[in-house]
Amino acid sequence: MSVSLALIPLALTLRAVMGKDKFQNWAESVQVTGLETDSIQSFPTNFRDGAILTRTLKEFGVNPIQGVNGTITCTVQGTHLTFRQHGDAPFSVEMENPPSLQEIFMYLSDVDDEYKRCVQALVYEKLKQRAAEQNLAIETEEVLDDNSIVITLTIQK
Amino acid sequence: MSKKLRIQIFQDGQIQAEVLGVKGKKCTDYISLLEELLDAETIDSEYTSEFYEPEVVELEERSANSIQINGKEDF
Repeated sequence: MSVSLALIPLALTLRAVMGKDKFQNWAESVQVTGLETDSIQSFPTNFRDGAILTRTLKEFGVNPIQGVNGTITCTVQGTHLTFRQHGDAPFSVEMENPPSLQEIFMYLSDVDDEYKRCVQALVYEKLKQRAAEQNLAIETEEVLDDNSIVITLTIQK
Repeated sequence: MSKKLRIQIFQDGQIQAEVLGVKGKKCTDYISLLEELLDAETIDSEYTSEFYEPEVVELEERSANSIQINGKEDF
């Protein structure tokens, strides 16, 4: 070995805000903005890729609607959610009057887990495709007990 | 040892990659290739003992050239 790297896909943000043990941190980050009689609460997420987020939400059986400015809206457990992104920054999620913040958080944590699995699958697919384009041969490929995928490529150049 | 890239993609999306069998600074050439292959950015890197090892192949070539030159000089 000569160099060892830790990398993070561009579709993910480095911060981890949505794990199931992080509800307190997430709740503390709440920004409540008055909007006439309604209140909207905005929270950070780990999502950076709208296409993967839409795909993940569909897999959860909700019907996400993509707005003109990249905004994604859907209704979950009676709560209207709006995922909003500014530039390359991760999406934030706005929720209108959630009956139970903790329940919505747990739901979004599940979406977060699934989003990351989607990222894993997409990185794997892209890697195989691009390796072939770069003349890199796949020597071994295996899935470990922790469900991580290990690929060894031979550099032929 | 042949040159290899070992890539581990975790379920939470994070990635661990290693460049194997490439001695010296040449191994850093593969960092940008890995980022391109994986659509990812490096957040941490660590050189291993192999990084500090001399590039044997290059030394052998130089040594062979040197013998040849010496050989010509002998004639």
